[in-house]
Amino acid sequence: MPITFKLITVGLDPDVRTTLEAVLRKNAPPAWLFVDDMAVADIGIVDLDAHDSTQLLGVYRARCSGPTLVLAVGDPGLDDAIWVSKPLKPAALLAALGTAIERIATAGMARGVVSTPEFAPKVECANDVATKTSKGTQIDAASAADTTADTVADNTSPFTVSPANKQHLTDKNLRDIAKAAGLTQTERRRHPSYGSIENQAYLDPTQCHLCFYDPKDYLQDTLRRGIDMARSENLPVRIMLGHDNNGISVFPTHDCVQSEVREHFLRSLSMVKGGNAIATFQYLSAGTRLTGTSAEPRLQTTSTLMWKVALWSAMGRVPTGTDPERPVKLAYWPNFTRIFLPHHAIQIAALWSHHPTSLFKTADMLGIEHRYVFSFYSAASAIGAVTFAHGGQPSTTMRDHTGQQHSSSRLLNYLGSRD
Amino acid sequence: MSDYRIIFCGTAGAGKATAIETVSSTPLAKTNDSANRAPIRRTAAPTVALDHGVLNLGETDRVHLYGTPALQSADFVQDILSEGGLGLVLLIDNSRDAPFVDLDTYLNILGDVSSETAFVIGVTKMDQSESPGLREYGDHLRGFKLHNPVFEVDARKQRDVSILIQTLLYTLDPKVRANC
Repeated sequence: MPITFKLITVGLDPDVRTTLEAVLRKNAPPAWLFVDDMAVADIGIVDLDAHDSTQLLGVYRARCSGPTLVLAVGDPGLDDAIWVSKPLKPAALLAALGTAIERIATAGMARGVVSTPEFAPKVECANDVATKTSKGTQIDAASAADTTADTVADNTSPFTVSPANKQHLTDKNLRDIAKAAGLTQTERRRHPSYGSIENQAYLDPTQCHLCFYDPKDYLQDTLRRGIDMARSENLPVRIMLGHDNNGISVFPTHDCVQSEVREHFLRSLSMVKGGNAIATFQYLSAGTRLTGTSAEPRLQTTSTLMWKVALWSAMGRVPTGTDPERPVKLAYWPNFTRIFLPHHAIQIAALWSHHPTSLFKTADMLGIEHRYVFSFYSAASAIGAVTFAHGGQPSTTMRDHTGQQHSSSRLLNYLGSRD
Repeated sequence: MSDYRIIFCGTAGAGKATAIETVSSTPLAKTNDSANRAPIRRTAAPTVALDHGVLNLGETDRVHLYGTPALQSADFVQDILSEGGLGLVLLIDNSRDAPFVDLDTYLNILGDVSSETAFVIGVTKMDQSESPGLREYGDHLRGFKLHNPVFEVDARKQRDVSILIQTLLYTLDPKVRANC
């Protein structure tokens, strides 16, 4: 039976993470399950070349005691971390993961127990781990040691690239991973706003739990609380993220937010379940002034930041309790020219402004993936731009503009190619 | 060759000509009935010069972008839109003394046109004057039972003008696809 280890990536571009998942999926056991909750992760992979990587590493270590792989161009000289050099090579990554597992096994034997459930012999696949095991399961050290020894000592283990595995590591794999890893240095600023939930999951009752999240577990709730605090007292509020006093300041009179942390860091923190745990709040004096100008990228309206943080937290999901069958209407148009514009956002907004439509029906009518609709709803809901339509029924009627569809399509193509 | 039309209207200095120039495939030109390559069959209004730009969509389709002088009549607008009209972009200069008065003026002038024609509102020069805000514009429009899109726009930015036009098209039909 394959053993499953839970990995969390911190500060990694989503493209890199996706590529890592693809590469590891193609290798022999153990199985790797990428998780977003630091509290359940066995091994962390931290991109040290990311902006604010020191903060990210600090956040990760405060939440997770497992071994850490750090990705960096040069040796960062961290004794307690396993360095994987860039550009990333699958063989080096697998070897580092092997070292990490050795450390887990050593730590487990030293304690007399292995506290991670992934050594349990019944585990068959990554999804089973997520749904069938509970955190804190303990098995005896002997079986854990046996299992681990078999895993790491076997020449055919995945931590040395066996001939069989090499078959999977095609040139394209190598190119892809190297290319993706390189992106962390030349950050493309693509926003991971839609997640990767397959369309089928939204429609399958056994998987639909994947499509919901509780904002209280994410930075989204922290930001909401900070904004509410500032507005209720009409005083600036500082949301401190981590131990170095960097954070976000909310200025209610200007309806804006000034961030001392880079967007990359905020994004990573927003995506991670439990990313809100490190935040603390502090009222600032009424005389606290904004620094910088309106052109300063870290100065933005509260709704602009709330919109982004909600998108990053939602990742294609909607808040728990949302009824995807209930018609939604647009309360007001988000300022699309000044916020990150997600795919299909204008279409969805146009539909909801005239025809209250459920999330499911919206995806069907527009012929788009559910994750785009769910993402848009979560972000729009976070800034109060959507409401449920009371007693409304989804409408399928549209104005007849079939004669203009061709020209509209071509014009959209034209404008899209110039954006 | 098929010709389609979008009108940019608004107060003087709101950025109509700039917006057209920002996205046009051709240099901005002044045009009138006789000079216009896509003739406008006009019934009511006297001849006036229009700012004119063109989006060439391949060899078969063109979208003409017209910038009207301030305060033209509804008939004038309707004439332009009567054949191949896609809709209207209304630009409001937020730095003027009373932007809502300007907005009301245009909504009254356009009258039935505004309820029958797709239109979007771009609020310009918000960097010079933040008030009224976009939410207030939305509330104000609701007083006219209108729910049209209102965005902050810098007429010099291609992305801003592009989003206005895309929104206009999706307001006509959210199901239209860019890749069909």
